[in-house]
Formats: sequence, C-alpha cells, structure tokens
Amino acid sequence: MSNKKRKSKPSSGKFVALKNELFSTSNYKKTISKFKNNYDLSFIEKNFDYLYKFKFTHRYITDIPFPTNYSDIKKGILLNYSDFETELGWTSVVLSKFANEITNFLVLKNEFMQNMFLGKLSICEEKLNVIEQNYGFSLWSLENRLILYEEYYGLKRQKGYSSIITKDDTVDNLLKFIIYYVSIKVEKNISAEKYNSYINESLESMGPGMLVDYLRFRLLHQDLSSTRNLLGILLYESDSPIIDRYLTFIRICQLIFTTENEYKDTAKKSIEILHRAGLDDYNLTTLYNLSNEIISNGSEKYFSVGERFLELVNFYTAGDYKKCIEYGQVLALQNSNFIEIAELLLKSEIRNPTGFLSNFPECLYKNILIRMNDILLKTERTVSSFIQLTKIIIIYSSYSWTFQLMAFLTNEFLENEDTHKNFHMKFGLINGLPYNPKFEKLFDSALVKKKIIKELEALFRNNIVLDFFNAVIDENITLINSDKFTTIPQYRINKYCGFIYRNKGDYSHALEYYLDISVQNDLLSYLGSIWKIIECYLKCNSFEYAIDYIVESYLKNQQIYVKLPIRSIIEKIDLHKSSNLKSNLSLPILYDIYTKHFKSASGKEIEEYEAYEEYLISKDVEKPSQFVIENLDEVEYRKLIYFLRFICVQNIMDNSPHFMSSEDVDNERILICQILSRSDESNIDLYQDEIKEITQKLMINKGLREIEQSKIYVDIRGIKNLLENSIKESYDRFQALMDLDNDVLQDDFIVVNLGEKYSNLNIMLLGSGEKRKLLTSILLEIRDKFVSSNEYGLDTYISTGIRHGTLAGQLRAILELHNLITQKNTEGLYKENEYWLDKILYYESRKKRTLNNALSDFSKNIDELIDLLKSSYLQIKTETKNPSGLFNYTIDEIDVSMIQFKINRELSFNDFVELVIELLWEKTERSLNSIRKMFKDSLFEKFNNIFEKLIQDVTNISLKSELNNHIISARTEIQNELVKLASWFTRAKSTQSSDYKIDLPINIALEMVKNIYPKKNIELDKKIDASVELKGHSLSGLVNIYFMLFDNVVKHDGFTGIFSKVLLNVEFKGNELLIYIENSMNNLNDIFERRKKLNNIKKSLDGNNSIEKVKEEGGSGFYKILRILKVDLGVVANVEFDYKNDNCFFVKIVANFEGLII
Amino acid sequence: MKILLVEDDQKKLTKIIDFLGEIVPNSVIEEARSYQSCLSRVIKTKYDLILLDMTMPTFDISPSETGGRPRAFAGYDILRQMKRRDINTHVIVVTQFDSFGDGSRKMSLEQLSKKLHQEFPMYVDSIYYNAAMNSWQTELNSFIKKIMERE
Repeated sequence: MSNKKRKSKPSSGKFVALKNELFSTSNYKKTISKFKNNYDLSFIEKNFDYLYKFKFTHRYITDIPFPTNYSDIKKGILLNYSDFETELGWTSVVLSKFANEITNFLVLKNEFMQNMFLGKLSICEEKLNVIEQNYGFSLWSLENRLILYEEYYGLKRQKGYSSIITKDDTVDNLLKFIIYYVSIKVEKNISAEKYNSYINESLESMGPGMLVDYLRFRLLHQDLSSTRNLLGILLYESDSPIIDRYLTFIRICQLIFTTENEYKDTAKKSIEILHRAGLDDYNLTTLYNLSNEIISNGSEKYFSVGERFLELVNFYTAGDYKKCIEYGQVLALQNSNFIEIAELLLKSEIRNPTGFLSNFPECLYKNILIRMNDILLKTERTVSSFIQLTKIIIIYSSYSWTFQLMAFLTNEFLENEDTHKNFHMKFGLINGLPYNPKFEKLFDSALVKKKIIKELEALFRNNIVLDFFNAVIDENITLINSDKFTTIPQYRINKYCGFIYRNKGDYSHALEYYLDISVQNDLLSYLGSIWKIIECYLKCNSFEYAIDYIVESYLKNQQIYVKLPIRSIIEKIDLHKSSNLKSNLSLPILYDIYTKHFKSASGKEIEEYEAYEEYLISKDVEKPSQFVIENLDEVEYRKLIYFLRFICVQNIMDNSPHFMSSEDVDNERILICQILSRSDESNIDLYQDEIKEITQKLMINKGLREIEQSKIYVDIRGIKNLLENSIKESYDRFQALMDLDNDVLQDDFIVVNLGEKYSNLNIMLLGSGEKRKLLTSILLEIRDKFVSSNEYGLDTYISTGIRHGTLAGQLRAILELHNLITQKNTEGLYKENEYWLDKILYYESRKKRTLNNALSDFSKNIDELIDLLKSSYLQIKTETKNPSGLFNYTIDEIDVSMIQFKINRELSFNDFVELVIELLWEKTERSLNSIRKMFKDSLFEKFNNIFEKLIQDVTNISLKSELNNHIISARTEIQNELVKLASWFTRAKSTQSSDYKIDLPINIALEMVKNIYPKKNIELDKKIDASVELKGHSLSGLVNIYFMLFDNVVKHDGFTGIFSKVLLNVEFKGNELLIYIENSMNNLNDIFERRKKLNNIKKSLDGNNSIEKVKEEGGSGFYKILRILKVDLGVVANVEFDYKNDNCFFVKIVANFEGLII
Repeated sequence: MKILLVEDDQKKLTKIIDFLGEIVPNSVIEEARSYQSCLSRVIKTKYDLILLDMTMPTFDISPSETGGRPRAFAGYDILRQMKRRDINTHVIVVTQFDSFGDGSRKMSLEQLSKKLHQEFPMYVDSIYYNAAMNSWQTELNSFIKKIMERE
C-alpha cells in the first residue's frame, strides 16, 4: 500500500453537494475530476452509473468508447489527474461498465490472431472488419490492420493506409505519431534493433516526461521491464477507446504483479471490480488468481484448454513424447497463442522425431515453431532465429503470447538468473494459461506454492505432474527417486534433484546430478544443465573446472555460447589468476569466445592477448609457430587447434613485442596455417585459402612499394637512342671546334669561384663564344630529351605515376574517410557536407551555415593546395618554364663549364652523353631532395595551417569534440601520408621485379584505386587466365594501365553509390594478350556529346602527335596507356574503346607480348 | 632524466621536445611512434618518465609499413603491458583528443584518466594538448617538477 493519504468515504451530504455542483457548473472537467480524485474506490464504483447516465459527462470519462471513425480516436478531454492508485481504480470502474463488449471483443481478437497464426489472412480481414463495426476503431485495430495489410497485400498497401491517417488533418497528432511508428514497426524489412533505435532516438529528442513514458510503453512493448511511470501511461491512455484502455489496464496490472510493487492492493481491488463485472479474459483470470493466491476454475472455455494442457504435460513428464506430439498438435493448432504448448510439442519432437513440422502449412505459426526449434537445438541458425523471433515479438507486441515468446528467448539466451531474466520469465507465465503447474513459480512462499498445486489437483485429478511438483516443492529427494515416479525419465529426475540441492546450497550434490545428465544422451537436458554445472563448479570453488567445462562445451557446439555464463566468469577471472590458470589453454579460448560473441566484450581483446601470451610463456615459446603438436589427448588437441586457428591471428599477435612489423605478423600467420594444414586436415582447404590470401596480400604490398618507388624514372636507353640521331652531329662539330684557338672563336674568359662545395676552387670559364654556345645548346637539348621526351622523359613518368590523380587521390582519400571534404557540384561550388550537417539539429540553422562554410572553405583550401602542388611545385623548372617547379633542371654557366672541362678529344660521344646524364641525375637527386624536404616541412605546414583554420572555424559548433577528433586524426594521417608521398620522390632502383602471375598487376591496381577512392568499391567480375607468368620488368607498366582503366571507371561511370561494376577478361591467345574491360554507365543523357569527344580522342590517338598528349593532365589516360604499351613495354598494341548500347563503355587492348611471357 | 616520448604526430612531438629542452635541459629524450616501438623500448630500457600518446598505430608508419591497425587505446594497452611486466616508470598521457573510442567503449578524457588512475599506480595524470594554447606546458612542467621532487 502506498503512503498517500487514505480517502474517507464521503457523507451523503457531500455527494448531494457534488450532484448539485454537476448541474450548476459549466466546468464539468473540474467536477468530474473531483469525483474521481476525492472519493474512495468503492464509493466511485457505487455511484459511477449515476454520473455516467448523463451524456454530457461521457466526453470526460470515455469520450466515444467505440469510435466509428479513426479520426474520433483520442479526441476526449483528459481529467485532472491525481495519483496512480486513483487512476487505476477509476479505470477499472469505467471498464467494468463495458465488460460484455470487452469480452466479446476478446473472442474476436483471439480468432483474428489464431487465423493470423495459420495464415488465413482473408478470414483475418473479415474478423477485423467485424471488430471495427461492432467495437469501433482503436489503436489496437489500426495497428492490426497495418500488420494485416503488410502481410496480406504488402508494403505499399500498408504504407498507403498509414499515410491516409497521418495525412488526415482531422486526426489527433498523437495518434498520427503513433501510427507513423507502428507503420515502421510492422514493415517486414526493418529489424527489431533498427526499429528500437529509431524510436529511441525520436523519444530521446523529446526529452523526459509522462507523455514520453506513455509513448515508450506503447511503441516499445517488449521493453516493459524498464517501465517506470505507470501514472503517465494510464493518464495518456484515458482518452483512448475502451479496447485500448482495457489492454493497457491488463498490461499495467501484470507489471505490478511481476515487479516488487507498492500498488498490489489497489491492483487487486481493481481486478476484482472487473472480475465481478463478469469480464471473461484468461489474462484477467490469471491476475485474479495471482492476486488472491488461488486457482479458480474461471470460464469453461479456458478451463477445458487447461485440462487438455495438463494432460499434455502428463505425457511429456512421463516421457511419452509420441503421445505428446499426437495430442499436442491438435491442441497447438487450436490454441497457437499459448507458447507453452508449442514448447512442449517441440521438445517432444526433438526427443522423438516424427517430422510433424513438415506437414504443417507454411504460416506464421510454423515459422515460429521452426525458429524455436533452432534455438532449442542451438543449431547454426540460432542467432538468426533469435533475430527473426524478436522481430515477430515487436510486430505482435499487443498480444500476450509475445511475452511468452520473450520468456522463451530469455530462458534460452540468458545465462544467469538475474532480475532481468526473472522479470521476463514471470511476465511470460502471467501471460500464459492460468492452469500451468509452473504457475507456482510466481510465488515465493513454499506454503502458497503447495496451496496452488493442491488447488490444481482439486480441479484436475490423477495427475502425475502435480504429484511430482508437490514432491519437488517438499524437496523430497527420496520420494522423487521412488517407484512412484519410475515412468519419468532419469534425466528429468536428475534435473529436479539437482534443482533441489542447488536451492539448499548443496552444490556438490547438485553437481553430481547435473553431471550425470550429460551421460544420458538427452540433448535438451544436457543443454539445460550446462550453466547449472558451471554454477555448481563456481560455488564449489572449482574455478578452473568451470572454465574448462565452458570451453569444452563450446568446442562441442559453438552455438551454445548463448547458454554459457561467459560474461560473469570473465568478470571473476582477475580474482582467480593463479599460475595454474595462466598455463591453462582454456583461458585464452574463453576470452576469444567472449570477444567473438558479446558486444560488451569490446576492449577485452587485450586481455585475450594477455591470456595468449601467458600460455606461450608457460610453454616456453615466443611465437605460436614454435609449438609442436604431439602426444595430446583429444580434448587438449581440439583446444590447441582452436587456439592456433582462432586466437593466433594477426589482431592478437600484433600485441606481442616479438613482432616488429605487419609483415612479420603476416608471415607468422602463414607458418601457423602451415602447421594447421598438417594437424587439422579436415579443414586444410580453409588454411590453404588463408595462406593464399595472406601471400597475395604480401605480394600486392610488395608490388605497391615497387610501383611507388619506380615513379621517378627516365628511360636512358630510349633517350640515348634519340640523342644518337639529333646530337651526334653537334657533338662532332664541338670536337672539331676544340682544335681551334680560342682567339679565333673570340671567347671571353672569366674567373669563377665554385664555392664551398668545391673547396672554393677558382676556374676559368669561357664567355659567350661560339664553341660555348654550341656546347650549351647540346646540353640543353640533352636535358630537354631527358626531362621532356614524350616517350622516355622524366615528365612523362611523373605525369603518369604521380600527377595523374594518384597524388591528389591519396591525400584527398584521408579527408574523405573522415568526411571532412566534399566534391564540387556542376556549378563549381562545393557540395554540402551532409555527414556533419546532419548531426546538427534541424533548427540550428545558423550553426549549420557556419559549419557548412567552414567545411567548404576547408575543401577549397585543400584542393587549391593540392592543385598548387601539382601544377606548380611538381613541374620541371627550366630557364624559361615553371619558375616555381622543384624539379630544377636549369643549366647554368657553371654546369656548362664543368662539362667543358671534362671534355677532351678522346671523349667519345657515348661517354659525353653519359657525362651529361650524370649531371642530370645529380640535378634530379638535388631536386628530389628538396621535394622530399618540401613535403615534410613547408607542405606539411601549409596543410597544418588549413587544419588550424578549420579548428578555429568550428570552435563554437556543438559537435566540436567529435569533429575535432576527426580533424586531429586526419591531420596526423595527412602528416604520415606526406612522409609516404615524399618517399615516392626517390630515383627508381634498377633492381628487377620478380616475375609474376598476370592477376598481380590487377590486384595491385585495385589496391591503388581503393587507396584513392576509399568510399568506392570496384566489384570485379573477372575471367583471368591466372596461370600465365610475365617478366618482372613489365609489372610497373601493366599496373599503371590497369590503374588508369579502373580510375576511368570510377571517375566517369556516373554512379554515385558505393559500387562500380566492372567486367574484366584477360586472356592470352598465343603471344597475344587480350584485355577487355566493360562497365555500365549511368545517366548518359549527353551520349551525343560524349561520342563526339571520344571520336576526337580516337583521332588524335591515331595521329602522330598522340604521344605529345601524354603529359597533359586530366582526361581519360588513353594516350598514357598507349605510350606505356608501345614505349615502356615495347609491344605492338591496339587500343579500342567505345560506348556500347548507350549504357555501357568498353576498352579492348590487344598487344603482342612476345618476349614478355615466361 | 631519461624520457621516452611516445607520439605519432610529428608536429606535436617537435613541440614537446622543444618544451622539454627548456624545462629539463639535460634530459635524454628518446622517441617512439607506435604501440610496438614504445613497448619494445620500454621492455629493454629503463626510463625515468614516459610521455605517452593515447591513440596510435600498432607499428611505426613508414613508406613500407602502413602501421597495422590503428589503436584508439594504444596508451592504455601499453600501460597494461607495463603493469604485467612490473615496469613502474612514471607515465603522463599527453593527448590531443578529448574523447576516445566509439560505441560502447567511447569515453571522455576525464573518464579515461579516472580509469587509468584506478588501474595503474605508475600513471601520473593526463594532459590535454592544444597547440594553440600553453596550458599543456604549464601542466607538464608542474607534473615533471613533482616527479623530480619525489625522486
């Protein structure tokens, strides 16, 4: 009983005064509220009829009790509220006036659901129509119509119906809100988890309050255990139709009797009012029995079901599963809303398979049975069945059977008997049949339990189950083991004996009984006994045994993890970290099971590693590959295989100080897979696949590194060939001029100091005479060929390998991953950064603007800096071009003089060229040095300044912490990327790449594309003749070709989603390589323009100046591809490309690879 | 004083080294840039103080090493390894983040610091590093002075 002031019965004088007030006031709300709030329940019950006979009071008490239109729902006036007990009592009095209607509605509701279970949807529709005709529209009827429409007609009709309501201006807004979310709830394609997160998000944004508590109750039924504000629920339901008020009343009373609650007395009185009014509902009967601690015989209909159910329990307990199935099938199909019947049926079928389920018609009920069966057996579908059933529970949450199903799931999935589990188990029982022998579990006192069983015995005579339950309540082990119960299977006897000993706290005896179950070959009993065995071990201080038992049970069937008390045992480990435990292989496995299956384990990986390391230390090895697998018993062998397979993986091993790089860790994993291939032959394919995958990853990484280190390249042989024709003659002339006196040539001589670098050496330099002019022109020509030759020169390689998207892509990719940068739209403005803007509440428009401006500025600044880098810094600087270029190839007087000094008459043309190329390489090295320095210093500073500006710009944005973390992480990553990019500016090593299979360059190119477009995924449908091997020196060229082809797809396919679909065929016909790539195109409205542009490219590719185009930035890269084929790979090739069927683009390359094939 | 500075952000690393040069001019400062390079140094060498970043890659990033998996709680993992190995060097966490991890593991710097105090006796405190302000310098100076006085 609550502490509120008890209301005294009013004198008749006071009631007369109230009557007078009713007729003299226009404020009916105040007067009726006074009647509700100031008088005690029996007085209200006695005088309610008088009040309600005046129609003008209805608006305040029931409004329209059975609305003929949904727009009439929730239009009544809420009375002034008092306290919960007053509201509950008042509600029961109001409802008692409609006992007949409610009883009749419940019959139809039951028929509706029974037909839903069996998939008879047209009958459901008829029933629902009858319900709405006779008992009006209600929240219940609207919700069930949405369920029915979704099931029967599909999403479109369902959404159509809900939008009629939500768009109707005459409909109450709260009703619209509820219908909007119910419509989402009943969608087939939304998971329970997602729905919960939607609704929680929406309710949280409304802040706390009674209305939110009501909506939470209405829309998140399955979360009743956390229901706090019962008053708010009753209050906001008080203007709902009678049907909804009754269903909510029942649910609230159930809550009161499931939890430790101060309102039990008032609830009891309220239930009695409805019971007296003759309302026939098994839920009400259960509540009546519960509140009075009795078993009443209730209505004939449910009594008869109870009788048959007890018969079923009799068969089951006696182990007569065949009969149980025969009898149970009929019962289940008539009473599908009692999940306890389904559970017994399934458990019997598991023990004595008859295949009855396959004869069932496809329907909701069959689906539920199949899912429950998966869960009982802990099959591989256990988790997916759990998800399915949770979804069903959410959809049908206005039905009592969903709480039974919830109890079933809780029992099967929750390891401990904690408050949460107890709540659901009790709530399930309260929602079940009133005549279940387990009803006694709702009471704590043994005396009441016995009374309940006795009353059941009085109603249902000669029942072995009730006798047996009596013995269990009496804790009479001798009787349980006596001849009286010989028909009951031993595993059930053991289960209850274990239960009795556990209750007494005698865990070692309990353990004996439970352990005995596992040798009796009954899967369900074994599964049921597992956590009890573990609990007994723990209570007996056998901690290690408990862990071993968990791990060994898990290794037998991994799905049973749901029944194992893993979380609680993990929490106890620190207290028991004995040296024995450290050397126990079960410990790391236990951690692995935990991190694998439990969300709450996030962050426990480090503890799994520690257990891994302790075990290794105990075996005196540093790395798992040092293990020798021999002389192990079956259990230890299985544990060690598990340990190697699932725990000795990269993410665990990379914690160990014995590995110095990612590659080290990968190589160790390969060794482990090799051991596993030998020791666990049944899974050899898995291990071989993993070895292949890691090896390929390592090869791709190696290939990527090679490509990155080969970007600064000049084809010296090619250059020399070019020079032979153009310079040789000039050089011969220069040699001839050398024979002439300087006076003849009128050269001026000047003295030049070479500076500290050359020990301040003074040298005589020639002036501007003819000989010197000639030499200068020769040097400039060689330089130009070296840097600018379209076929062989440095700029060509820089353009292809660095400026062609890769550099910008690598930098931008990081910022895209952190969602800090956007692309420009067609008008050249940066697109809105939806990711961050969506995180700001819709009404904070000023903040949105500030943030959008800050991020747009950031995108712009970054792109400008990258552009500056590409178009200015990473260009070739000569005397006349690109003054800001850092590839400095200006030839000055000193260079000319240095060369001139080294030339003598014996110097051959080839040696002369070598001399000049050496000078150019020196210049290259100096340039690369300053570029690397620029990347690490000034460029980083410039990026840093842009980041600093962004940090400043977003200082006052509410997302500051989250956004700030992303900005700071991105800044550090950009820093690392700049160091990496700096390493690209290194002269390509002359070391040969190893020969390779033809899929390697494809995989490397895909990896490059992934690095540049982190939010895009190329979905490759490939046909590749992977057996062909090619010579190592062609790798870089092919990688660049594939990269440009994939890059083209991502850039130009027009799809905005994550995936770009690509068909790739690579095959050899003799020496001829055929590469065919095809991708779909989106949005080809401008196909005419595109074809025109393409034709221009084709023409210029055919023309003589195609190679000239190689250094041009942007575009499709076809010139570059052609150059690589012809020049770098030196093959005869043909490149074809075009649009196909107006929605497809293809490129076909045919090249003669003779000499490149191994 | 022998100090190990564990930091993967070059800019922050330079700033801290410069500041250490001012307040403990004769100290020897070694650098580590990842969970692994820190761990291997801590196991092999005895330091007087470790200045530890919280969020780092597993391995030192270089052109040939991607760094392995990034660790939101690398500093925490290192402290655990130190505790297991009975390494009792003073540790000050210096971080640019005010929150760590995500989902159920998300925690503020304050919460993290509380957790570190509870679990690790060698943990001194955490400093929020903001390059635009000098409060981190004041705090670092104060912590180091206290450590030196205690020694």
